Amino acid sequence: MRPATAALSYTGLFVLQALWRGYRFGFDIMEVTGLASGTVYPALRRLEALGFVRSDWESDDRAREQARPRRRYYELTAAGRRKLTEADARYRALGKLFPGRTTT
Amino acid sequence: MIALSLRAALALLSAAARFVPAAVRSQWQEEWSAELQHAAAQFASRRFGAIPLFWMTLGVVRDALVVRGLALVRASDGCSPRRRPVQGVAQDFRYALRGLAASPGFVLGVVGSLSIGMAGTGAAFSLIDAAFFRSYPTVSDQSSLVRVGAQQTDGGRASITYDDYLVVRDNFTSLSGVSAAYAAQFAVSANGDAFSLPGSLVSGNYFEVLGVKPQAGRLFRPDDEASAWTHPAVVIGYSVWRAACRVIPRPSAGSSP
Repeated sequence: MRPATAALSYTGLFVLQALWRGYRFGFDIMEVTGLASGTVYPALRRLEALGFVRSDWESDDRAREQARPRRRYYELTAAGRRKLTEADARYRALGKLFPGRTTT
Repeated sequence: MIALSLRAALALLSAAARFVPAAVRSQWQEEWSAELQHAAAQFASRRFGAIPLFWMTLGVVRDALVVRGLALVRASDGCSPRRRPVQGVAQDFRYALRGLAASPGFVLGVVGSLSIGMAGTGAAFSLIDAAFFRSYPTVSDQSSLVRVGAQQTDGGRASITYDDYLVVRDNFTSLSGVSAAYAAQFAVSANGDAFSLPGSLVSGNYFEVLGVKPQAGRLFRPDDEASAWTHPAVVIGYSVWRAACRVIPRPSAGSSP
């Protein structure tokens, strides 16, 4: 799977845009995009396989502080940012879909 | 309620995890578990929070299948992306066949019991089908047969006039044929006895619509209803023929029944 040639669906672009806006885990992305869990999580897997997204686990300490299981956080890679920039130029409204995340 | 839904969701998660490749299973399950617990905490304050949690849980199954699919594609790196999974399936088949060949007694037992089970089920279905679902064994294409009629205001069945029947017949183009029948009693005299038999006054195309073939003689023709009472014809069943008309010689093909 090569990022340079892969075509992205609207779902993929929405997820990339949400990640760019600071929504970094599955439920958060579901809430802001309005997409179903059966769409968001598989999209994250595909984007990660394509190299547009990378994931990492948050530290145990932080999860423990907030008394919850640790989360898997996603973020854009350089290839993902490039893809989003291309999509922004093509779909002008994409950048206005979601507000930026104000809290973490 | 939300706690119960969360427990059900986590149980489904454990079941779906079986589809996920072992290499990533524990991390996949940990991520989903954290997401579902977070969702449950968010939905707890909503009035029917269990419902969105349920919908979210359904995504677990799809995600598990996607993760498995991606692992298959990843495994095919370096080979033709389409051939490698197919080769894997072929290998599975060869392995299964070798396993079956190694235990012929088991195979015979399984095939035998399956055959007996399927034959028994088929026979039972045929019997039930004939007894309950095919009330008119000589009528062809019974599933396409519909009854058209009028209904009284109290729900009872009402007859329609012959003119109404003609309107239905000529305008009901979605049906391949429309025939009419009117139940009646008939006085019969045979062998010096007179008795009453139940029957029907029917339109000339009645048997053509039903797709029934005569055992002997002929059925009605369109000209039988060309004008009323000119040469009334009758079609009788075998039991009536035996009981009341056995003195009549068996009709030859082409003559009136």
